[in-house]
Amino acid sequence: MSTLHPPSPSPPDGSSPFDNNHADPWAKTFIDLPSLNAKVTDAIGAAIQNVRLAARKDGAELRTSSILVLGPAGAGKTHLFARLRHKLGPRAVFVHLRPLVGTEMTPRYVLGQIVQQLGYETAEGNGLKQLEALVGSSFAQLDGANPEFPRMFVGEIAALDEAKRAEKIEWAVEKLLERHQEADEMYLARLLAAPFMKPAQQRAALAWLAGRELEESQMKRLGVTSSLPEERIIQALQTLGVFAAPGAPIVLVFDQLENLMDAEATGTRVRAYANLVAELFDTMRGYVLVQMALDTEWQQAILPQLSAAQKTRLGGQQQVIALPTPSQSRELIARWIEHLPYRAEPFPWPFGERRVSMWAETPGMTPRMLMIACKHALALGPDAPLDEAEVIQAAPETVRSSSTAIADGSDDGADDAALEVAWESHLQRARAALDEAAQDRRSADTARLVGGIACALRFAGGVTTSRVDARHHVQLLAQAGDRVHAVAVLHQTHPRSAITALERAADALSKGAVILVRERALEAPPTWKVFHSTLSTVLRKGARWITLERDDAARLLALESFLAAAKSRDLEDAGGRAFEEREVSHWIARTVGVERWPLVAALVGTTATAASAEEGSADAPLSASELDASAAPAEASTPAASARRGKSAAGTSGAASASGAADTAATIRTCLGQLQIASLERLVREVVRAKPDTTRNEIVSTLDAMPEQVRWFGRAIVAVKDAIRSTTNSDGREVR
Amino acid sequence: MGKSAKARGCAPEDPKVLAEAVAAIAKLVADEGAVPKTALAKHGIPRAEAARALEKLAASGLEIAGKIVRVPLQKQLTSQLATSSVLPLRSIDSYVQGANKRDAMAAATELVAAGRARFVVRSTELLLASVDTPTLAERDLHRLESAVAKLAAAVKLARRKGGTLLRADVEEALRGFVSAAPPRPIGSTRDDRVTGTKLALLRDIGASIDEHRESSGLTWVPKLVRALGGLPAREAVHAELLRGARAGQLELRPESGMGRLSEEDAALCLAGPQGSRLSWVRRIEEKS
Repeated sequence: MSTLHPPSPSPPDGSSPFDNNHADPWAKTFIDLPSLNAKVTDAIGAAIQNVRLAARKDGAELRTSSILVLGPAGAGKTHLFARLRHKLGPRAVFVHLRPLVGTEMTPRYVLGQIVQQLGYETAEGNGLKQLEALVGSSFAQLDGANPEFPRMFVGEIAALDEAKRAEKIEWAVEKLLERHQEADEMYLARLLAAPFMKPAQQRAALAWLAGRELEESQMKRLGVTSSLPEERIIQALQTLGVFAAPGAPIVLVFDQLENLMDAEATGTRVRAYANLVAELFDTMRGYVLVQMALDTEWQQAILPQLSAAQKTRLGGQQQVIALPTPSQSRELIARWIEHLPYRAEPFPWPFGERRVSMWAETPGMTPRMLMIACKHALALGPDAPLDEAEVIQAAPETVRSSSTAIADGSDDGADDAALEVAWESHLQRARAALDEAAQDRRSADTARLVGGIACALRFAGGVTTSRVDARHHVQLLAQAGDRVHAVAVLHQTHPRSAITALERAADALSKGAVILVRERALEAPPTWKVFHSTLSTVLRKGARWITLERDDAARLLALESFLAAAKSRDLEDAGGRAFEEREVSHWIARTVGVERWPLVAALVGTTATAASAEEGSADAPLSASELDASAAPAEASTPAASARRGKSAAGTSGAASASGAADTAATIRTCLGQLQIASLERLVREVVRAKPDTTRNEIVSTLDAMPEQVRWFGRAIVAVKDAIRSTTNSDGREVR
Repeated sequence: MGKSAKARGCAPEDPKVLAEAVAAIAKLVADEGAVPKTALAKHGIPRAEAARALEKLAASGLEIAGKIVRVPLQKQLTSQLATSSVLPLRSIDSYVQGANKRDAMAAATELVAAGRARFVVRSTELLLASVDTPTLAERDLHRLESAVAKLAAAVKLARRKGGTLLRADVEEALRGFVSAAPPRPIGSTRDDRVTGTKLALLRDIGASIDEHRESSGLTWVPKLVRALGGLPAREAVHAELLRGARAGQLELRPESGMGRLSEEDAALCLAGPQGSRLSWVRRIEEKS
């Protein structure tokens, strides 16, 4: 489950509890059986309470505690997070993190996630955000009142006039500094003031508090000259910990630790994670660290990589997630049934006693397996007799193992459909994350984006990545053929830092090729004159420029989370069997067409045409032949060139000649064959690039005349039908 | 001859005396299983106080049925099942006090409905069995039905053609059922089960689970099977693990590693639901 999306709305009326097999950590409504794994809930609850009590007691030693929770896939680890949120409401701040596939977690990343998730609502509802709960409970604590009802205090302070509010915040900062000398005064002041700021100023303050880079306008609003520097990140985390502890301690939940395993099994990422957690444990006070992992992965892959000191910090207190007992299984099913929109008879309707007993008494049934079994039985209808095939084979003799299932290759169609649905859902979540980022006027999470690029490059033939680290200016090094390619994602929102990043990236030109990537949503404004001139210089030296369209960025983010879900065995076939990671990879390679994504195509295309790329004018857009050969439908040009195209399509006519297609329909087929699905505007852009004399109206009327090959979604989205797919090979070239 | 004043219940009683009398009757019921209501008068409870005394006896958990005060029938049956794991339903009333056959049958049915006992068939007789008596679960019964039907068809064909069956085939068809539980005589007492017929394997499994427990508190099933004899012992070990799981003593957990289960290890794991392999086991010490 991605951490990077806001709380989802309540399920609409009429939805079934079996609609989704996976727990949503931020669900507003959820169905729970408190007796199931009450021991684990109580252990975490007790750790939070201990931190809170120690923080309130003068002279008590405030420490960070760490709990490790182990369980198989679908046992309810993420559900546990949701349960704790609902149980504790505003009495704790919950932060859900998972290791990123392609890069290491850093203190800055953790800080960013804490502040981002402070903006999420508490489970108490009524719109109370975690930030308000945190600040309200702190004010209550300082006033000697009960900090468990923070809303009232937030309301009171919000009602004060500006001068009195500033006075109150100043007083609170002083009181807090008296208690915690290690706290960062400026950080505290901004944190306390943030809930009461106007939206634009609050966005700027939260960006600063999160350690993100600020735009110039945001700096002006806050009266600062720079973003939070690296050396203050640890102090900021320390400040948050001690500040939150008395009222709403921060619970950092590191989920899906299995994603620490890299394909090469070097253990580097495990050790880096262990160092981070050990650092948090040793240098922070007042946090509760909860780590969740698959039991096999922890025991066989993660634990052997840890030093003795790390083992005590990460796995000191272990809790095993229990599977439901037969009576708990029955109770769980009964509770799910209660939430069905229509119930004709009492439980065990609609499943029948035989089915329910069979499920409940089958050893090894996880709650997710139960849910999948219920979903299937529900689809059969209430009166369907128990079929032989439904009888669960929990038995000594060997039956279908996951490995044999893969070898069989049976039900490929159903498997593909299940993966298709899951992929779509990851895409949707990625788009939501991008929307959220756009709302906050920031780039997509760079670490996830870089992870997505690293994941995508796994599907590019002959490309290997040698370094992936989102902290550097050149985040990724890839070897394609005999050349090293440095990929720099320019996520900076301030021209000065963007220029620095450009210059650092340019340094890599001496060692190989350089690809500069920037999201369309962060297009550098024309006022960044120095940036543009530096960019031109760097491009002239041989660097290449890729603009990531929203869809391109969404696909990269989705790929990153999709592969993470595969690692966590969170992707199941129609029968509930978790897909192996290699099955998922195989499906991606067959279906998603990663090799045609602009960045990958540029890299692979560069390999093929390395000589021409070195010779040619670097700031020109990709030539039409390159466009066809690399199937790079996205903008592969400089921002300046992009602007030129915005003014006049004819302006690019010299650079983009027709691919050889004789008419508009052929060009459309070629472009759409590469895009598969796109907005009409995007398609028009691509077609005009390839065939500059084409008009929008001509493209639309040609599309309308191609009902066999083109599918419309409303009048804004067009998609390819199989007819085009079959006429286009993997390179995007027409074969017929 | 008139009755004594005490027996007639004419004399007003001190509440303390009444409570003592009720306690004495309750103890008598507990010892005997049931006593007639007339015992109230014998214990000095006046007729006028009889209703109150019965109320107190009912409040203390005893059943008042017609002319009888008794230990609840379900409780009596449960106690009987604790010492003798099965009771024939044909004579179920002989195992309880203060009830006719119809009441005893009704109590047995309620016990089964509440999941605290099971009906089992032995030959042509229906028995009431305690929940921890090894029995075939619903799905095993289903599989047995299917296996027996196949065997019956094979026997019929063999008869028709003048042939016979391979002993190995019959054993194979029934192996999952005959080896699933240790050979435990039906009707043996609990003490017999503990001291007499427990297989050495049971002790080995318990000890092995503890011995091979990882730091996570879980034991790797392939390691356990290897420790107990490897592939030849697999079926027996699996059967014991399943029995422990169904008795609520063990928890079998599905494998969820990222392709870490080798073919050899997978072969030593139990098949789990939805295509999973049960690769971990842990003892359940307390309800979570």
